[in-house]
Amino acid sequence: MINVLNEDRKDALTEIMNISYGMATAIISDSIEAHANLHVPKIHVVGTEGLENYVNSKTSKTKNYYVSVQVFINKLDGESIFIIDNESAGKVADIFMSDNDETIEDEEDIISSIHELSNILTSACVGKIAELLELEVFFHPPAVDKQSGEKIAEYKNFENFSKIIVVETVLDFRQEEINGLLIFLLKESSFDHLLIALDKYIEQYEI
Amino acid sequence: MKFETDPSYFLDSIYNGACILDDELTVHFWNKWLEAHTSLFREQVTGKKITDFFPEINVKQLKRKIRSMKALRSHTYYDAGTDGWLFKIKSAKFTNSLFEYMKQNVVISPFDKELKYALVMIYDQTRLFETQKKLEESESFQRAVFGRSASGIVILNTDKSILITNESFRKMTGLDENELKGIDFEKFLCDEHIEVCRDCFGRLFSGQRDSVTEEVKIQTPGGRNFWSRIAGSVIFDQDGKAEYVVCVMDDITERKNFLIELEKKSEYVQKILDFQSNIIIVTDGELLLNCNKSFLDFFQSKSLEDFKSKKKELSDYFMKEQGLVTGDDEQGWLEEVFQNFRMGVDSKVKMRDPFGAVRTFQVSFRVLPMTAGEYIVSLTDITDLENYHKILRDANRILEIIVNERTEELRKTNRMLESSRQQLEQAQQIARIGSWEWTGGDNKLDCSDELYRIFGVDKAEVILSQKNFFDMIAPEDINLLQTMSSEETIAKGTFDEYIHINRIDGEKRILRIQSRVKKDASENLHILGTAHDITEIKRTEAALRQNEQLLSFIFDFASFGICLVDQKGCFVRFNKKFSQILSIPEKILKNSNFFDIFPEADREKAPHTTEWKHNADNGKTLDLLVTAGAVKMDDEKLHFIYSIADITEKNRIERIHREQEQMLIQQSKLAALGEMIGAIAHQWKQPLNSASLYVQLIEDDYDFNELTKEKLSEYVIEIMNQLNFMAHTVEDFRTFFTPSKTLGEFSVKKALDDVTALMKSSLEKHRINVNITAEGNDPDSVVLFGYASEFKQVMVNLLSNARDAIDSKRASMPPLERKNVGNIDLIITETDTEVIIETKDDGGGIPEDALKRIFESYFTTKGDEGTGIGLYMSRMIIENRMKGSIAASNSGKGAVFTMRFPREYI
Repeated sequence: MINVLNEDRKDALTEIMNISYGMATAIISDSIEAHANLHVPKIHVVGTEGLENYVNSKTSKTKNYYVSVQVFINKLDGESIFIIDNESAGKVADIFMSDNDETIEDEEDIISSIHELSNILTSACVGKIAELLELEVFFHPPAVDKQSGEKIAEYKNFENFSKIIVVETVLDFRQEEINGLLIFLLKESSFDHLLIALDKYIEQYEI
Repeated sequence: MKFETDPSYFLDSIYNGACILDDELTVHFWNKWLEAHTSLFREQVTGKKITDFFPEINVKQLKRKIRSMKALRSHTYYDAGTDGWLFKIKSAKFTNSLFEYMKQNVVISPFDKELKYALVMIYDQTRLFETQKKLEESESFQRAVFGRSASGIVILNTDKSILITNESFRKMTGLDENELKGIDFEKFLCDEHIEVCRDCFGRLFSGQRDSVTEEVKIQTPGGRNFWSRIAGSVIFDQDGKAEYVVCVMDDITERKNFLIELEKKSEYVQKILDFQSNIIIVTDGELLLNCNKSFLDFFQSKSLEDFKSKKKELSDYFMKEQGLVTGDDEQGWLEEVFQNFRMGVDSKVKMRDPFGAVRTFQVSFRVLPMTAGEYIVSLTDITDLENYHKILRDANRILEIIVNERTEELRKTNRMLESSRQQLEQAQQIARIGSWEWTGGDNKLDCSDELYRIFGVDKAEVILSQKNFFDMIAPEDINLLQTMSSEETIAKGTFDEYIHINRIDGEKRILRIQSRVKKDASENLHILGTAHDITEIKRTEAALRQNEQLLSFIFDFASFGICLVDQKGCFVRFNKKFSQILSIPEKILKNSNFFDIFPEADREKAPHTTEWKHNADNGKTLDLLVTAGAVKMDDEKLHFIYSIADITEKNRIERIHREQEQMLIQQSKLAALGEMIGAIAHQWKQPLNSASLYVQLIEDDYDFNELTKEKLSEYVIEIMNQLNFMAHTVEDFRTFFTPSKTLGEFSVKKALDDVTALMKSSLEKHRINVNITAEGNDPDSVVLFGYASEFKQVMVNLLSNARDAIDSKRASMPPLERKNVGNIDLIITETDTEVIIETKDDGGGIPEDALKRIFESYFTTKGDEGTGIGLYMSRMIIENRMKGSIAASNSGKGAVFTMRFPREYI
């Protein structure tokens, strides 16, 4: 994997994502009225050509996944893809939907929960970057699909995007670990905007 | 341009639902769209909790989404696909709507800078989802068609690698989906067909053809080979670039094999046809379609084409002779063949071969199966056969003449024989005589038809032989029959005996067997005989004898005298009783003349009954009841039959009876008179007493000098009153008992009222209450036919009896209980068929042993006080004079007398 960010920028991006995840954690904890913890995410920025291999390395062919795609437009233009395996998705639904400890099995409830979680994560991360850039960003609602592990890395129309940011997400809740993969696909211009934002953030930090 | 801040300024004008909620889900705004879709008005909703109107909302979830929205300062969503709806609103009224509730996408956005309020936007997605659902259904249908198609379907990429296959294709190849995926389709083709396939693909990709169909041989990796018809077509993308190739394959191996087999068979058939010596052609009636070798040989042609090149029509070769198929008419020669076939005539043609010889052919045809109007026609060369036929025909004709002559002679002889046989048969049948012949040499029994009939055997089923002949002979007669072949009979030469037989149908018959018995030159026995069925004759004789015995018995057994005399009066026959009645011994009577004994006898032929007074020889006068009539005997002579019965004693008893009855009536009248006198005496007691008092008063007044003119007048008036009353009383009784002169209808109710009035004083004296009730019609309208006075007399009798019975009942009771009895009920009932009058008392009833005899004369239960006449007379009146009936019975309390008068006599 070729990392396209220098260390400073990568640190800055990790920091921003950390803040964003903190906010997302706060929202989730608040929502479920219980403590939840989102680990400090591992972040990779890669070119489009490396995505398939990377996703394949992080997923299993034998599992089934939920994939939530959310488009954001305006000056920050791109797509977020949130990948979560069946088991973790079920746990998310238990957190969001269940009033007691019972397990949620209704698929629509699971999809609805993934829809909500991915919206929170995308809005938190992209919203934070937009805030730093003092840009307006407009979100489309997420779209959730089911996908088998075999086909999880098959994407078309990559040519519209230039850079991809991958955020590995781990959510701890009630001693249960929920694993997810959040991927941001950014268009060239948007990536430029991101770099500006990162530089701006580094600048603030230096002061 | 500055816009109004009032949310309604914008939100009412958009075609979406919009509402503003705070953290606690209180509604702060409700736009027109929501008003329209929920029928909830802004004023109604504003300030209230949204859950008051939509209790189904997941409050926790909605609040969380609002909080998320605030924290993120960004939108949060409800997705129509998974959540369905936020506000449960009935979907807009589209016909055949698939969803009951509106599918909604919901976006929750921050509304104000302070983030106090959330703007909730509702987007109706119902139509979109309906379209999506229909698409899914359509797709699933197509998928099913693809999956279940009997043809193998395979979708190839443009490089001919396999993309998708259906079940049928997988079965054909014996591989599963994964094994097939990505394989080059050409690998399934035999080498010789690869080029064909490439050519086809080329044409498809270049757009020369929309689709191609080829029959190719397929070989599977498993080693299975089969023929397949492949239809291929290309799916292009929007830009016209080939995207996929769709191939539909059918296994046609069987059909292919069948065709090859058919081809072989066809050759085989042609060889068979060529082998035939007959000329065989296939034609549709006009054109020759096929022929065999014999045809080509006959016409010296190399092939059918060669033949056609010489002369086009086959019928051009036919010779034009009468009786042959010529092919001259418009329909063509085959039509002539058909016509002959329909009429049952053989079709023949004559043709001259290229060497000049004329040959005759018989034409036969068959419809060629599985064709439209083609026939297979066979021409058999019968030239030689025809010649033989002609020779045979001539020889036959001569033979026929000779045979006919002989046959006629034989027929005549036969007719005569048959006639004789029939005559004999009929004679036997009329006489019921069957004949038979037994020849000992060959042990053969010949029987005539009549003999079969006599034995009750069907000639068609059983042939009479010596054995079954003997089987039917009654066992007791077998020995007798066997004597027919005894030495004695042979010496005598004849046999004549009566034999009994038991027929198979169980009937017994008597036969008279007569036969001639002799031995022929070789000492074999030969018997010729007849059997005469005399069963009926015997039976008639027996019946006659029996009848005669029966008649004689009846004649002598009769309790009256019977005699049969001829016209002169001579006795033909008489029975013992006849001589007993007349007290004349039978011997003397035999020689007497009937009309001398009875000069009063008439000679009327018609049967009639009369009474004669006859002075017998012993001086007694007899009353005779005579029935006489005439009868014609067999010899046409008239005979008279007289039966006489001695009724002298009967008449005497009847006379006594009449006298007794007369006496009874007299006694009855006296009893009635006694009753009347009793009644009068009772009625008179009071006025007599009064009158005598007044008379004494006159004397007393006079003695005391108190008798004035006024007082005297007063007493006279009083005495006259009493006397007048008495006179009336007598008049009343007289009227009552005077026999009615007129016969006719009278009212039952009135008659009963009269009787109770007459007996009033007597009944009152005995403290007896009489109730008259009627059931059914108005009692006054119920009438009877007869003499009213007689009916009243009956009722007086019944009431008197009831009164006496009640008295004696009371006598046997303790004094205090006596008042409990003393009721007589008279009940009149009228039905459709009769009038019923019942008299019920509570006097204890009639003793059971007396019930049967109660209506007999002089029978009484009252001892010396009764005469035994009352009820006897009552019965006489009811039965004889009024044609009714009277019966006595007992109820729980007392006697019941029931009188019934049938309507027909009323």
